[in-house]
Amino acid sequence: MLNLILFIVVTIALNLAFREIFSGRLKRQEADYACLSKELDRLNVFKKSLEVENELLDKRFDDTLALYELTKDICKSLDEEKVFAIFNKNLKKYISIVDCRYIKDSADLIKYKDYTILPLNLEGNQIAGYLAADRILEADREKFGILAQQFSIGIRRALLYQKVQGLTITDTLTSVYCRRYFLERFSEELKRSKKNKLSLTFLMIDIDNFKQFNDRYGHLVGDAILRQVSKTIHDTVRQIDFIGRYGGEEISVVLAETNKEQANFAAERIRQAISLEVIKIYDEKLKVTVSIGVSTFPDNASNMHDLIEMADQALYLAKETGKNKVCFSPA
Amino acid sequence: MALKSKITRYDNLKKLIEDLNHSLKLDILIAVLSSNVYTLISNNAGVVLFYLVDNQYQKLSLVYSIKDNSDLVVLSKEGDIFDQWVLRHSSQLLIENLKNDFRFDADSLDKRDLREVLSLISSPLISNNSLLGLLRLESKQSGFFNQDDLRFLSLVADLGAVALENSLLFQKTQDLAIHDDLTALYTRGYFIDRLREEARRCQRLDQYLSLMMVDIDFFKQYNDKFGHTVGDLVLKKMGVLLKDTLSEFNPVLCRFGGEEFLVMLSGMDKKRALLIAEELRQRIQNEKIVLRRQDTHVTVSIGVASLPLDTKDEDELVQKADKAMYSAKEKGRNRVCSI
Repeated sequence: MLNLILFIVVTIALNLAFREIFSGRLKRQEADYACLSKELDRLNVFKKSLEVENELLDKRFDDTLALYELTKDICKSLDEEKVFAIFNKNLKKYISIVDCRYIKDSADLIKYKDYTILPLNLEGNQIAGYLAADRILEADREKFGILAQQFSIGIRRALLYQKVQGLTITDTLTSVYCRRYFLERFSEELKRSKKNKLSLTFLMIDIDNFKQFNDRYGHLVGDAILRQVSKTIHDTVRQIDFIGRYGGEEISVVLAETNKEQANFAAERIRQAISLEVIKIYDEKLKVTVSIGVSTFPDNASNMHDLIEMADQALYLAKETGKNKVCFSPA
Repeated sequence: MALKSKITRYDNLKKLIEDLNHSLKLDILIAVLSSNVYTLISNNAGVVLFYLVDNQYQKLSLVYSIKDNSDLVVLSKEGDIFDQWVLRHSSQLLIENLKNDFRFDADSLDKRDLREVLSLISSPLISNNSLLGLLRLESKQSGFFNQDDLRFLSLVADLGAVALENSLLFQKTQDLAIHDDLTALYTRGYFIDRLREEARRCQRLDQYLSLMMVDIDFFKQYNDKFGHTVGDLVLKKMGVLLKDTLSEFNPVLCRFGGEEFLVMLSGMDKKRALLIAEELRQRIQNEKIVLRRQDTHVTVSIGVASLPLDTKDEDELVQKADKAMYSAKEKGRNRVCSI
């Protein structure tokens, strides 16, 4: 009996003692847990803020990289003024600025004395010109510098191109006259025709679907096509005729001492010769066709620009009515 | 880490565009572009290749490369299937693992080329619709490059394309300043510089120097009759004739003006120069120029002047040759004269 009582007492005591021990531990664990979860929350918040910051930085880098993409737009033009126009238009997309000017002559700088002036440096500390910016934010200053560098490279391209155009006579790719020289010669030939009362024919030749060829086969194939077409034209016309590369894929020809009837014959011959030619490039064998617009002096016009304009309209007509054909200026 | 490399790239991009703006030398530009992408994208591992487009033959040619293994030899100097892909599509290319890329048949690669390629990025250099070249990075590891790398590479390629075009244009301006584009002979300005140099040298060494002024007779009438295109043909032909006839005497040839040519014969005395000029005159007179199934001929009047016999001053020498040429014209053209 005593044993039993003793057993019960001991059990209760032990029970109480254990409960005391465990509940203390539990409490401590609970406190630990609360502490840990608090820490976790804090860390989560911190992580989120880091993520946001990271994203922001990423975006900032992306934005900065995007600044360098201006070059691509600037390169769409080879004209100094147009290059600046493109630059100026894009400038407002990237930074806030009231006005920006491109100054070529340092004497004009005095007119913009309230502006921020940025010289455009070239090789050997030569200065190509200046950019003057009106009220530009301090934070945008660096961006402006990056954009200005690209403008400078674009301007230099335009200037060099002009210089080459002024001196060059034949187009490197096609070996026909370049545009400027062709026009010079066209105007001389027209004068000679007027003086000697001779007729003259102008052809505007355009390769059909050239853009698709370029897109499908790549630039090198496009260039090879241009080169071959120019060669075929060269082999088809007479020595006294001359050929020029008028635009990207447009080739023009002046047929001296040629009237409308003769012109029809000559233009048809060019069209047919090109349509029969198989152009071999790499592993490809290609065939191309051309559309030709024709205008004749004195029938259609008596000055060069009108003749060009009319041949261009005739070319458009040829394109509209099915391509691979010769059309005459109706006027 | 990723952020850090981004910052380095960004910092270097600024420097890169400044560098590109400050040099017009082709080889420097190519080296700058290649080493920048090699360091910033590839971390100086693998291979970078730079191809230029050869406009004459419409193909690629390898102009620059950096390799981490100097034993590697790049055999495909004109580009392989990947480069052709980039050219054909005019767009950039990313291959993460060649073995899993269904676009390319790895077996069709040139087996002689022993370099291992598992991943690569490549971007064309296009400026204003014309393709200038191609910049490519490759690695033996798969997944070495990602989309960010490709974007950065194509950005560098776009900036590089303009710089490259500028450099090519600059070369062309330099060439055009020296050579007349029609006849490929020297221009007036360059010739005069050469003449000064040569005259001084001859005087120092006590040598002769002769000058011929060659002018086509009745060129204006010829132009009026047959057109300027024919005129251009005659001028071109004259350039070839001068080169051919005089080649053994090592002449310096120049298109001096419209239909005027100047020939400098270094070390040649006046007596011999007159004989050679007479030979040249006859050769030109006998040359047939066929126009519309009709044989035409041109003749030339030539004036000869020599150092030190006629003058000791090189500027005066040109004037003397010019005067002699005019007296040939006055005496009835198609002849050689001296003062």
